[in-house]
Amino acid sequence: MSFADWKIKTGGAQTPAHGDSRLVLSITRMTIHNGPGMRTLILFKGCPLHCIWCSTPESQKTKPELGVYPMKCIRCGDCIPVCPTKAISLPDGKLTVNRSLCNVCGKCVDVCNAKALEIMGHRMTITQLVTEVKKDEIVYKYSHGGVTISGGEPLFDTEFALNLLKAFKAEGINTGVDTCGEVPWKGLEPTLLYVDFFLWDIKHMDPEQHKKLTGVSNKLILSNAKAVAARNVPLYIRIPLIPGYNDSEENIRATCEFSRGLASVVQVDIMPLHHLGKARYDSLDRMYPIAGLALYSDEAILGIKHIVESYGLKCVIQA
Amino acid sequence: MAIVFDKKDTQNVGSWQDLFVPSYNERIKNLRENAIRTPEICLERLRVEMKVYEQYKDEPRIIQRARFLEAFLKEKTIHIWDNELIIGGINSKVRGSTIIPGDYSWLESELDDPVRDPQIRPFDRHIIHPEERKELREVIFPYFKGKTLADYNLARVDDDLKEHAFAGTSSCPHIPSLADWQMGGDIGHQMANYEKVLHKGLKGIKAEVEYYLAQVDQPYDHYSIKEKKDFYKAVLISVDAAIAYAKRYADLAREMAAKETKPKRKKELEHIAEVCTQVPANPARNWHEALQSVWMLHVVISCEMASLVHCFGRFDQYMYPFYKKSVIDEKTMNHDQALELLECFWIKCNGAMLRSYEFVKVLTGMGLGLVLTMGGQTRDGKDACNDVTMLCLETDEQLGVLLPETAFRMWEGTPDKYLRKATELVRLGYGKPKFIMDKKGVQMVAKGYPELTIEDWREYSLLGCTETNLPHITMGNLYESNSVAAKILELVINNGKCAICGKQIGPLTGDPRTFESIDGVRQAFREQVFYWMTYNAKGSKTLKEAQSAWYPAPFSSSLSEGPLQRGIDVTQGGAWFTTYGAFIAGLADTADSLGVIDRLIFREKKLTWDELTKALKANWQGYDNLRQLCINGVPKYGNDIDAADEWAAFVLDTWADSLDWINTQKELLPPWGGRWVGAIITGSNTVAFGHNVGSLPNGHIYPSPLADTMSPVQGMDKSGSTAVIKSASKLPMHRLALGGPLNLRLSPQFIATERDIENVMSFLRAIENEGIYHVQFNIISSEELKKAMKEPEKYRDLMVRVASFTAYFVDLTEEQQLDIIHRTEHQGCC
Ligand code: SF4
Ligand code: SF4
Repeated sequence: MSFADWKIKTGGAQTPAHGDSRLVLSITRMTIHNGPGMRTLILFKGCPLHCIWCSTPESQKTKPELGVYPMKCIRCGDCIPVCPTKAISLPDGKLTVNRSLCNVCGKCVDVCNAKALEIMGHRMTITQLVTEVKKDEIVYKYSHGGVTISGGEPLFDTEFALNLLKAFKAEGINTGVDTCGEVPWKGLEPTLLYVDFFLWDIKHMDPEQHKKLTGVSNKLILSNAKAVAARNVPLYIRIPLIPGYNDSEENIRATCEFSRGLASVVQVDIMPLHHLGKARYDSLDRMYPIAGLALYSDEAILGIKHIVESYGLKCVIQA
Repeated sequence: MAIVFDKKDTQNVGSWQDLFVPSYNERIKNLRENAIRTPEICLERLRVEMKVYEQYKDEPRIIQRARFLEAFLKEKTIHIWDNELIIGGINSKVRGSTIIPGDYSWLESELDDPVRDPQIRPFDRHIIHPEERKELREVIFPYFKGKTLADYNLARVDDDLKEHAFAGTSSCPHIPSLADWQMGGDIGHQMANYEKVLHKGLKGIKAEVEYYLAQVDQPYDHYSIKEKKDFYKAVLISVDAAIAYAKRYADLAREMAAKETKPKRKKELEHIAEVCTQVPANPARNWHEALQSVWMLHVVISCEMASLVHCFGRFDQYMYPFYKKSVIDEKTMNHDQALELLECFWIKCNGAMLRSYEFVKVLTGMGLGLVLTMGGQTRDGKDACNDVTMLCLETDEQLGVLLPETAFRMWEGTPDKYLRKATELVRLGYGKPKFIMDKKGVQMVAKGYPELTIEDWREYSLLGCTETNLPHITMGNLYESNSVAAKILELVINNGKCAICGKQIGPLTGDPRTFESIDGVRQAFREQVFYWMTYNAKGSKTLKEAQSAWYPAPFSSSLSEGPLQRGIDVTQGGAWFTTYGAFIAGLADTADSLGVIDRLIFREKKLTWDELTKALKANWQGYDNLRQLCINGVPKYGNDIDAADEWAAFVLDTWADSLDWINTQKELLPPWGGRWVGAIITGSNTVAFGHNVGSLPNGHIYPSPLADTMSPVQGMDKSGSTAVIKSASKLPMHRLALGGPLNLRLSPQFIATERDIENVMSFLRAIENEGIYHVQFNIISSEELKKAMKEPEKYRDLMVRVASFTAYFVDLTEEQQLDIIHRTEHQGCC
């Protein structure tokens, strides 16, 4: 069963958790910005960090969440009687869910034909994921692509990640892991045999600032990066650029200095701020912390690129 | 190379076209204006037709036709326009639409209309001068009243066929299969043997005709002597007329050269005179002569046949020896000069065609069906790309003009060099070239020509927008029939009644409430298809017979294989092969609707037939919730879900079955036989067909457009392009034999950097391997995004990407959408 079919079939109801499964947020085929070639991108739910600029807020929590899209609602009212906690109402015809009452049981999703309500996070097994990824095998073959697991934090459940990566490798699929790096070394180390490359986020070089922006210190992230580099697993360093937060020349230079020290670094991707994730905050009734923050000019980005390149690093703007 | 992309670093590109700096010279720059200026109409052909048929009224029709061509080529106004190196025009205008004899009642009503007049209407404008308006009104309209092919046809078609085969005459204009397009003109598709003329000259062809004519006089030839003699005589008249026509140009060039004061142009004109003296009468000796010969032949064919589609076949294959001779071996010119000449040739192809307001309202910007095929494999299965392939791609890149349409055949052995160039061309967003994939293509041709060998199949080229064809051995009557699969399904649901006008038009295939399983629906669908396709074949047969009597084409016959040997005109079954094309539209809507019936009515029992029919009768008004269930609750074609894709395959398999069956029924084919082949083509007729089909179980609301060709229903492909490819690869295209394009949408950001080019190249290779026959790319424009803001319903699948962030455009807030539009429109980062 494909992911699309899966969502149609199961609606809001969840299959019970078992050892070889994890909550999947989305599967996107034919992406081109997540490592070499064309790749299928899997987003998992659950992340140890909570970056203030996160563009996929629905990936942060480990539990399923209810996404609400009033624009799609046709105001049929079918969801109201099925809700066991009476969390849903339609004041002035606008679909509203009282989050403090909702227990994310998914009953409303099952009856909503318009898909104005959606459960974010569907439990999928390793077998299901491999089947889905294999659909584009021919595209990987010609483009030298594969699968990239992301999130959330794809290594959040390291045991699951290890088994999943093993399963991909058994099928001969190239594997990329888009990680925040905040993973215990004990769990990270065994996966290295099955990872073709990492997309490794470095959000700030200063531990204090890092904690302020993401909720955790960067100590483990940096030490892990060094250890991974020592094992010669290719690293794509990714710097999300957030104006005024982490884009000082000093911090950029510190990041480059650090990256240059990693023997297996392939390139540095700089990822300028965008506000496209705002709609997702809306659907979760959450506040978007950096609304209205000014975006970069072309020149400013090129300036940063030149700094990176002055360290002898290949730099790609992922805009 | 002339590509100058100065902002390679940013992906915020609206259109790569704006960043491309062409390197063509002043001459080409000026000539290019000729290709894009507002066309004028030309009435010369009508004047000659009105006179000649009268003058030769006692001659057999085929002689009349040859005499017409002779007189037309002799009398038509000829020009050599400033700067031109390749010369010769189908009509008397710089850029013109030849008005051909036919039913012009539409023009009669549109002429001088304050909105619809061709000169005023907002799209596809044509200039019609006051004296031409007068002539149309006073002479031409009255003359052709009751004297067109359509009138002749109508007189021969019986009432049963009028009712069931032609929407134009049926009491129900919404019938599912129509043979109407052939009613008023010969819209056959034919591809001349240009190569033969390049090597033998028209004089060589003449010698061949004389040889065959001499055979007819032998005492042992007893059959059809008179018909054969008339045919050969007509061919000789036509070929002589073509030779004389080229001579007129040679004389004109010489005359102009004598008067020319600028020494450079004087020399050019003298050279043109020399070229036109040599070709097409004699073999071409170099690149310039080869190009001129092909163009002049094309002009003469277009003057003879009224048909829309004359294609150039495997241009790079037959032109290469001449390029090699001039540029590589004898070095009489360099690459740039060869390119300039090809650019001149390209520009000449951009004629126009005047169509009615109603037609162009739906289908704007359509030129003549002029396709040039390149690349692919040689007969023995090696790669066929050569320097001319590259030259064609360069010309397309430089000029960015509509015609000729270019088809790039690719196979596993296509070198990266050519594929890269073709992909770079995609980036410019002209929708060129079309990618034609040999893996599936050869399988399809094998179905169309089972008698031949794999070596022959590898020779295929495009005839019309997508149709496979073996050049110059086939008379392809490809524009023969149009069927709307969705209408068939509507008839199944209503037991043969038209949902729009309420008439019982189709057979009684059973009240669906009595169906015990989905098999009842399948069976009814099959019965309806066979019923309508039978009528369609009968209707088409009648028209073909009329056309062969009315519009024999002796000149075109001389450039095909078969007619000369057999002594039979190409329109009368003379070519080695004759094919008839059945176009199928509305595939995805039908498949998705069948899926809804299967899943919601029979499997999950969430829906009853009564509820469904009530909702459909109400055109879904008041059934919003149910409609959402039908849209969202059932997997749809285009997402790589077998359960949905199998329905699309079922629809096409049923059609293929019906065509296979018709091919075995002699009485359904014209006396000379031939073979029906299928294609999934809709063009922009999706809009027109949308008016013929009632609301559908997949949530389709009357009268919105149907999904085009093989594409999923708009907004229903939610799993990305690779899923669309996989879904389409499950269709039995090899059984249909003719083809069908798959349109893919790319955002400019997807094909921005060098790495993206590599990715799209590998994507194309993957598509070939998956077994898709034809793909073409549209680069999304900011206008399209603006439309998506207004009509989110139709653009639910529109994906935008910024770095690894992917979102459906319509799911973004207005503010974000404007941001994306801004990124697409302006080259600066936001
Ligand atoms: S998911 Fe929440 S809103 Fe929906 S039915 Fe369950 S409790 Fe009610
Ligand atoms: S069921 Fe869906 S469409 Fe109906 S009121 Fe609830 S959210 Fe809106």
